Amino acid sequence: MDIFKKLKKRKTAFISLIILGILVFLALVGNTILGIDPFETNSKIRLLAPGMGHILGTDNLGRDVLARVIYGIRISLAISLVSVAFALIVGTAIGTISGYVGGKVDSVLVLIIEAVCAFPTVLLGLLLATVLGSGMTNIMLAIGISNVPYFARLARSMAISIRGREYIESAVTTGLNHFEIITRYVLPNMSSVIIVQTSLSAASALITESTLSFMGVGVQPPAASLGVLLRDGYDYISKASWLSIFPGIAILLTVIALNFLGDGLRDALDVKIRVDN
Amino acid sequence: MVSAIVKKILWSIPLLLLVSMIMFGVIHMLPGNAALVMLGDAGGSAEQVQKLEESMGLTDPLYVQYFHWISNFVKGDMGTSYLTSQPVAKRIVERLPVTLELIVCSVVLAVIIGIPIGILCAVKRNKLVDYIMSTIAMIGVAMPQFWLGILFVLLFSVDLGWLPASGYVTFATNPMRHIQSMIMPSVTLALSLAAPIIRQTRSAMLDTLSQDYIMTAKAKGQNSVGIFVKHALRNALVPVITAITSQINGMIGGVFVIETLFLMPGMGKSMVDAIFQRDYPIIMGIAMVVVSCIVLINLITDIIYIFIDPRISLDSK
Amino acid sequence: MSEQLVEVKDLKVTYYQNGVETPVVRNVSFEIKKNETLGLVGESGSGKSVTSKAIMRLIAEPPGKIANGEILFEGKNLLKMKEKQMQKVRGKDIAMIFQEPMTSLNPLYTCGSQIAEAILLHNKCSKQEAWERAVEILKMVGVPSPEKRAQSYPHELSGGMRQRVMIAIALSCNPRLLIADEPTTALDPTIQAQILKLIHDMQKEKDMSVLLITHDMGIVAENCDRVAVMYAGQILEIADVKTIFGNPAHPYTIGLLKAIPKLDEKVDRLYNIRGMVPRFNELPNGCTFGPRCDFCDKKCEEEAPQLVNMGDGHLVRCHYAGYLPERGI
Repeated sequence: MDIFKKLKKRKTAFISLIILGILVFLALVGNTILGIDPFETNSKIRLLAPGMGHILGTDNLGRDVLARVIYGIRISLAISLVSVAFALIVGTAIGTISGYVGGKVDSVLVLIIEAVCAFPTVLLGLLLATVLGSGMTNIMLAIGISNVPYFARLARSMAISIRGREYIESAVTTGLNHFEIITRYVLPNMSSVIIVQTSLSAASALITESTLSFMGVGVQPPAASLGVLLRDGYDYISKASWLSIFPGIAILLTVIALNFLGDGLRDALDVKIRVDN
Repeated sequence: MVSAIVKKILWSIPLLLLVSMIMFGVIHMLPGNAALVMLGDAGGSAEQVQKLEESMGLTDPLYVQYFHWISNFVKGDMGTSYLTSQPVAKRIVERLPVTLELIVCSVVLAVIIGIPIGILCAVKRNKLVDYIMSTIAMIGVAMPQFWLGILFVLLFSVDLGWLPASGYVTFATNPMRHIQSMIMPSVTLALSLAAPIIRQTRSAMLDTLSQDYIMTAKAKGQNSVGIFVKHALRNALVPVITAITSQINGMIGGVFVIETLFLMPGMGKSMVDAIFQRDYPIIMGIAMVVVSCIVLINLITDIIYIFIDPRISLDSK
Repeated sequence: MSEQLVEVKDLKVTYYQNGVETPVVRNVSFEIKKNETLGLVGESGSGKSVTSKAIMRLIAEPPGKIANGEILFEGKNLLKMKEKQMQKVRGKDIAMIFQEPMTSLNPLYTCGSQIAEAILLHNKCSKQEAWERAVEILKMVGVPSPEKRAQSYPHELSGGMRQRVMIAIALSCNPRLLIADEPTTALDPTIQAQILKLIHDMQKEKDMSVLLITHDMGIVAENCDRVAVMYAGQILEIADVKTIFGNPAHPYTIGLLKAIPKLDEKVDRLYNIRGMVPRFNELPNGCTFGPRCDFCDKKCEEEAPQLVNMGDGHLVRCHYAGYLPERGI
């Protein structure tokens, strides 16, 4: 728990870790604790402005917006975390192999990585989501695939630099095979960079998810991510501004917390402070 | 140096070919049937569909279809829209000006806002200005572009009623309304681009200002303006240009989002519509244009680096 | 020879560390005479670089701050000068070369133009004249084919060549004082000797004073007229080079000298001073060197020693200065 200790020293990173903890906790059990139901419709209380009873108001079907936002955080976080985990595993594997093996394999993989990177993430996500069809798993896959090249690029450059270091040479002389060298030396040595990238990618995946949802390829009802809430709310923008505000604030808060955590991890794991003397 | 440039240009050819192959493959996995799309709402008998598919070449193996497409593409023929039978090239030429205007306005605005503020933050490091601007930039980075747009619509259309919430008016029809219709989309895109530019310019400047050669310049007796302009700014230029070009991906993505949000008849909106309508030729055509632009811009940046930094040309020898 | 060029009086420099203002240089006073070479010796973290930067007023504020003291250069207090006046002093009257020749030159400009920049800042002349002068200086500091090298970018030169370029920049305006901050630490031993010889020759030729900062007692012995030994932000001993090597009075200086390997003596193990340099935020109460000193007693732990004058400009910050032989050294 060395990382945790170092993080504790950095105020913003630590606070964002706490905020993230609260968000995850809310997402998991918030609605149960508060006793509100994100799916309960009530035609009598349509488009109720924020106030007593419904703190964040109600939507066009009379559903409680707070309950919907909390539910939305759950869906959005789940999608972003799973898709980044996918990208992390696949991307790191591809990048490590590419960088470690080198030669023709590397050239081909680099070309593929560069080709996929040439697509704007939103466009790639949009295409993949359309190809795979809507539904939560497919959205996760679409966002996951569009994040793979970023992890691959990073892992490749790390693998190349680690491969050239002396401790790899000495590992080779002790008779370890390539698989052992990769798992015991290469991967552990790139882990801190990858951890930082994971946190930052989770933030951008959340933004991508909400954007795709807003553009019409997202999870299907009754499931609703924060992006879906914003899309649905946009139809009522002149009557019920709260529908367009609160889900956005939830996105903002989550993304800022993830970004801060990433920055904090970067500082904590990769100390480059120069003392002037 | 010339060989380095030539090498970079040659590299982009297989890259674009691969991109087109990936696109082609992905697009033909799209669910739905293009022949059905063409027959429209009226639909048709199974026989008609079969016939149409054959005439469109959709029954050929994928690689034959791809070869057919790429050989036409090289000749400048991007096919015709399934839906409107309009040539794809014509559609692109028609829609391009709207998108270009949006991109140029927002990039210029983003650079004008982003770079000076980034430099200011670095110079006034840990002062109040820096804290305020850095916080705003941090929020800007964390904000989905479409939500920023929604907030602008709420403020300037719903509340204040100053600007139209959506729609696009050509300059020829009504210059004043045209400008009004362009303000919100451009500012939205510009601000979402400016945020990361501020952050990266700030850190590039800070990094440069802490370099040893800045100390050398001070020890020479150089004044603060000279240190800044001659030593810091030029050295920070490479990372700053990287910062701007690294936003291209996000910017083009933003074009899709913003054009959809504000219902602007540009390439982005065209593309999104085409994806939902399964209009393969349009998707292919626009995607190739977009990706070529991205590859081209990256290429130009690489070449600019060679001119700015004498070390780069040496490294690539 | 005895006239003073620089007088540093009671200098105190502080740095903000984690929100606490920590003194990194305290009660530092010394002088540099005309045409002499003063060595400033100490381990890394002893405050010697900070002291030299303070003379140039190159301490970054914040986090640093010159909290107290005077630095007189030819009688004028540099610390009272406006930044604009100070810019005229830097590079012209006082010049500086740094430890890292690899990073001290701007990678985007040719060596010639970086020398010419200094010349143009302090002299009224055309760019053409400045360039010609730059080539001349490059030749003077022993750069082969100077016309060609002036056109080179720093990354095209070796470390030794770059340090010569740095020296050329420093000497371009005939300074009265050259501050050399570990000028050879990053270089190969053979190049080290060449660079030090170059500095020495230039000093003779240009009639300037040199403040040579180093952690290497060998370099001190060969190059300096007088030596100041710094430790934990204070000067512990200052004397001419013969006294320092022949009759050192501070246990720290003695320790430093014992740690030099000698060719003519066969030893099993080199002496090293036990312990580590204390951090500035956890300095001991009494003598700062106390915890590492073999002679430390109760008085040393409780009372901070003052500089004691042993005569002939030999100052020692030790309660037992002069009595150490009796205490079994």
